Amino acid sequence: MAAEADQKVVVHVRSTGDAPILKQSKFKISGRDKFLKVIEFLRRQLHQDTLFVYINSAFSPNPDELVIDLYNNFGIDGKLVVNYALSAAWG
Amino acid sequence: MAAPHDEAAAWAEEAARRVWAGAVPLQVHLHDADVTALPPPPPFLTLGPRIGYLPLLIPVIRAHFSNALPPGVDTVWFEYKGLPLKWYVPIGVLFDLLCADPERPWNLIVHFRGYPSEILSPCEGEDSVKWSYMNSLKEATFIITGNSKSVMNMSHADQVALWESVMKGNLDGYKNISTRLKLGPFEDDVLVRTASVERQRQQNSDEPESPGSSKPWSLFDYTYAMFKKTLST
Repeated sequence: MAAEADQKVVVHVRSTGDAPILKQSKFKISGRDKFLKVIEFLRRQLHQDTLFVYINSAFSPNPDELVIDLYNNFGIDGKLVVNYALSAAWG
Repeated sequence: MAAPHDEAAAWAEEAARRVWAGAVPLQVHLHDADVTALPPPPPFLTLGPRIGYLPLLIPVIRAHFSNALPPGVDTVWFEYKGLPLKWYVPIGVLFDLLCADPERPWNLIVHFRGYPSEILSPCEGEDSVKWSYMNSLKEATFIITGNSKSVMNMSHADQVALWESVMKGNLDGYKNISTRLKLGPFEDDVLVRTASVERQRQQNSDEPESPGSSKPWSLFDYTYAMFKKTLST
């Protein structure tokens, strides 16, 4: 059974390449939020204007996609795995 | 007489051909505030390929309006009835969703200034559209196969050729490469889960299933559904 839209989603962020590692690697976000919010959070935390953000080391979702949709389709073990890099890592 | 399966395949093939060959008649008006010529330039008429993207039309549109544009750096975006159009959604999808009236041609407004960056993600022309397309393809591939390897392992030459085939509306060229990605059709155990679909399913719990889920989905069905979904959110 897929998670409801108003549920909180656990996002697990992982650095790739020479991107700095965050002290807090897991946080919760509302399923109704757009993926843009995750990107903006990482940009703020890392003080980077340009950041490449991926799901499951595979693809960059459109910033307009809902976090809950990404979680329901690509979540692993109750988490949405988000990778970030300072340069393009997976094209 | 053809077996039902062959017949369905033939229909799918025909549908794909029609969509790829299809185009939307567009009448593009230059936004009043961007007009620096008197009299204002006439609107620009063109055919927007259904599987094409608005930013790919910018070079010809800019050429048409070149004598009327203000000096400086252009940030081009399109509007329909006050709504900024998402540049990464194919023209055919935008048209089907937004143009309910039998409006022919479809009247769009092009802006060369004042990009609504709080609503639209930034677009750097063809490169952005290509990036968005390739990532949508990887995302769709992940749903179908459980990873994005077949797209990531494409040679650079194949990636370029795939994108060229989309830009030129060349279905045969596209199929030459996309068949090697082994993307489907896939069965109903692999369903795209969106918040809107889930809601709908709960509401109609006595109905068999949401439309489309009982038959195999092609990559095209999937990307179409994704674009419809992103547009509606």
